[in-house]
Amino acid sequence: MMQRLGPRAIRLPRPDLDAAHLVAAGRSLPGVVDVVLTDAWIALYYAGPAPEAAPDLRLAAAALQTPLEAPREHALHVRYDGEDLGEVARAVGLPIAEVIARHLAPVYDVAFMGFLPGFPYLHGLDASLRLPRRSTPRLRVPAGAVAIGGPYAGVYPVASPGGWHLLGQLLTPQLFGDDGALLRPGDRVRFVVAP
Amino acid sequence: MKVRVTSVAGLVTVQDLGRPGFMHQGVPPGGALVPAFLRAANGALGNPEGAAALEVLGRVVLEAADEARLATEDGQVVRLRAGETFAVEPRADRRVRYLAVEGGLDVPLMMGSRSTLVVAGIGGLGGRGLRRGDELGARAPSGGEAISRELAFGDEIAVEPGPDGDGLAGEYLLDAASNRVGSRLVGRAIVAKALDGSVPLVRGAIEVPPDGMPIVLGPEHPTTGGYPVVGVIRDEDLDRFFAMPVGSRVRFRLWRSPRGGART
Repeated sequence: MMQRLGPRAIRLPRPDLDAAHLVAAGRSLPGVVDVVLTDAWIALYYAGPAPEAAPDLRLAAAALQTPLEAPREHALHVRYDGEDLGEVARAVGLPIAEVIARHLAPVYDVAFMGFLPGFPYLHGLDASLRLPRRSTPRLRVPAGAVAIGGPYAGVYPVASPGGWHLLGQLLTPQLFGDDGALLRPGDRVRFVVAP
Repeated sequence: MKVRVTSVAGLVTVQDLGRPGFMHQGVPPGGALVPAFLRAANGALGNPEGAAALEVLGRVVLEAADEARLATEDGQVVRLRAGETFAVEPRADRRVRYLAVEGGLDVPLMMGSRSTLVVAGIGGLGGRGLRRGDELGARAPSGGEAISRELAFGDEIAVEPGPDGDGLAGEYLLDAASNRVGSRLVGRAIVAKALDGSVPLVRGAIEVPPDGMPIVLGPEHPTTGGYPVVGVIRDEDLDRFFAMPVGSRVRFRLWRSPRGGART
């Protein structure tokens, strides 16, 4: 069901299409200037008044003229020395080395980006590492912090307050540059132990 | 034209009309807190309406290195000679002020905009607020005609219902703990059903954290959030809302679609 998000935006249940195609399809619609994805929703932001009827995103995806760039795979080098490593290990009942191994194993998908410029919500976290967010968020998490929260893995692109569990730190925390975010919805991410 | 910052208090940043088109990367459009004020300051100099100018949440004093023409959001135009200074002081009747220079400030374009996005440390001058000793240049004047733009003020704000709630009505105090990310309201607590996961956000959205005190999202808002969105301020009242000084009493009025039915 389509819902208004104020005078110039709507949100719709997220259709079952991959993230990169959804973003491209949304941006191809007439009048749309921006698209935001979450796990459950897609929001379309218009230059003018929001439409009365929901646009057909599947149709728009099928009609995309230019083929999309293949999703990129990024290897991010991590130093596993996060402040919460010990606490996470205790909470999930695993040795620290096993927490690190399970965080390293998957190839993650960028399901959507939000919260902060360039912050990726990564799908693929090992189910044994799911923990509720910290009850008291930190006032400052450094740029490049590698973290987990709920069902997601993520990386803080810039310093910010944050409630996720910190496992480590990127060797080169350059997730946000002059052209925008390094990661894009639909990209894949592997974590690699920093040499 | 070049000006040097000789004194600054609070947050003074380079802003224009923002950088739409990157929200899927988690980048909010940003830009001026009160676009109508930015347009008014630029209009007084004949600049393009969205030329980059200073947004002053506090106070700033500039010294001209050579001849310069400046204007504030209230339409005041000043001509400075080399060595002369000009101060933008806070005004009790507005939350923020703008200072435009003829031609617009010359800082690099980043992702289509010169605006400072403080939360990401990008754009403007080094991605940060101005400091004493900073120098700013201007672009070539566009030669446009000066336009006088009337500023609208008012404390009654129309809100349409949001996807997760029935809107906001009644009187709230605009709390001092407000910034370019969010404006905190204090008053009757709102009860809203907690969400299962993240939802997309928009400038002017009213979200309600567990303490029930609403937050109105500003230009540097997160693009996604975990709190219910109970309402969204109508376009025509966005400038009025963000122009109100902190400590103001704000009267929210529920807006209903002319077609009937609040939710379409």
